[in-house]
Amino acid sequence: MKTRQNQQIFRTLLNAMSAPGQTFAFGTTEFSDCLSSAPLSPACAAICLSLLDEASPISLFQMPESVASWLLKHCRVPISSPKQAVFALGMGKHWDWDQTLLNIGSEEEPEKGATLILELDSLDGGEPLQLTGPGIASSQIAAPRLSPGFMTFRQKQQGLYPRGIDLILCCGNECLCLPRSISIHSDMENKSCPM
Amino acid sequence: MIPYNFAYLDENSKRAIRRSLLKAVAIPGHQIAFASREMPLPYGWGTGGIQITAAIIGKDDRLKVIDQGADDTTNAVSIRHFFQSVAGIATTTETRQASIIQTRHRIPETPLCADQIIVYQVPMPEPLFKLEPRRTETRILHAMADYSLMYLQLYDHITRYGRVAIGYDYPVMVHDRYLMSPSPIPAFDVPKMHMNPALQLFGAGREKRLYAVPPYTRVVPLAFEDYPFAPLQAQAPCAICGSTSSYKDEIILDDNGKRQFVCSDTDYCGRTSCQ
Repeated sequence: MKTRQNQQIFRTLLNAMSAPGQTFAFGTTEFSDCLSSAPLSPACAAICLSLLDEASPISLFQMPESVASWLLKHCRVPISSPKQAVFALGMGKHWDWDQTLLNIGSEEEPEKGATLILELDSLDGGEPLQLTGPGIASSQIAAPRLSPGFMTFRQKQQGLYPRGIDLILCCGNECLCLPRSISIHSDMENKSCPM
Repeated sequence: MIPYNFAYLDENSKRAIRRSLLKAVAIPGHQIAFASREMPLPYGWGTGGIQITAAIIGKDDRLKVIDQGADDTTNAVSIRHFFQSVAGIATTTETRQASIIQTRHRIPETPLCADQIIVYQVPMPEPLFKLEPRRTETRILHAMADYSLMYLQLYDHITRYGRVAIGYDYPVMVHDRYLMSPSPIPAFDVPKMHMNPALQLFGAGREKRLYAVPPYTRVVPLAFEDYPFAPLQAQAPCAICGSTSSYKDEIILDDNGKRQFVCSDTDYCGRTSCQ
């Protein structure tokens, strides 16, 4: 029942993208056969299986060699250079690679901006971030364990809206989305200067 | 069993639409081109909405389809039947029971919830189309967020008619960035889009575009400070249920011009008249 799984994973992801900062779990037990062979977290592998195909080139950053061969075998997705990539896959704890290599789209076609899928050690316990914007009723706190370079990168991105890249953070069978439309402030900033 | 893939579209087409939908949610109000497929009904009958519904619908969903607020019109009945036969899903006419609502030209009177998705059928996704028909030009205007043409049209209406005479498809600003067509819903329905807890998806099959408004997103109708947004509303209560707050259809009863108003939302009207 691959059709049903694809649909369920996509709906969870659509819910997650519509509610930035909230953690959503995938029911990944059903296709354990494909996932057990994956050198990725179940959430990340599920997203790849349901979204990627030959029309969506992916770029890999600091991922083991086995990831590329697994993606080729199960998704038939071409591995491309960062500029051509529709998706990118990386590790959240390393922020030392150059994210500016990724396509952020143009003013006329901002949707060409890449989707960055990051593998994280944990979706909480990191520095608390305050999120506001579309999908969030008032404000939302999220604390994914991202490396410190993230906020600098994100602040640069915020000024470029509607251009930018969208983030899907994965850990275990859970995911959390940070689309480009939301504003992210580190919670510490707010405490030091109450407005 | 009908020899079609679940929900009619093949998996590759669904994946392409799904990737576009995620981008649409990430850039509220921005129109995204998608590879619109040929559907077993002509353009203008909701092919865009059907393709989006086909890409998101699953076995556990309960689908409601309305056409001008009614569950029992040709378009609504045939689309509901289409998904029953190609996806085997449950359908309903009750707004509260539905997990996906596909609509042509109305938003239900019953407020939507956070776990619902509303899919709009859109004939013309470009809000500037009547002012600038060239797509090559309008995409530049969107890129620069230059919507002076539309403000000029509103001004033109005020000088000619004394008010903004746009009854349906009223232009709105989404997330303070993109001018968006809310599809040909009455201006009366536009305030329901603002900060709605449901996800709103829009599909235009012939024009091959889709766009989205995520939950809790600012959707503000264009207006001037001294001429605020003021949608028209029928003066009479519903002849069936007596509701004064709903949107009404005007029905001509005889050759002498006798008329009555009834709720356009049949589900709402039915429940209100039962109470």
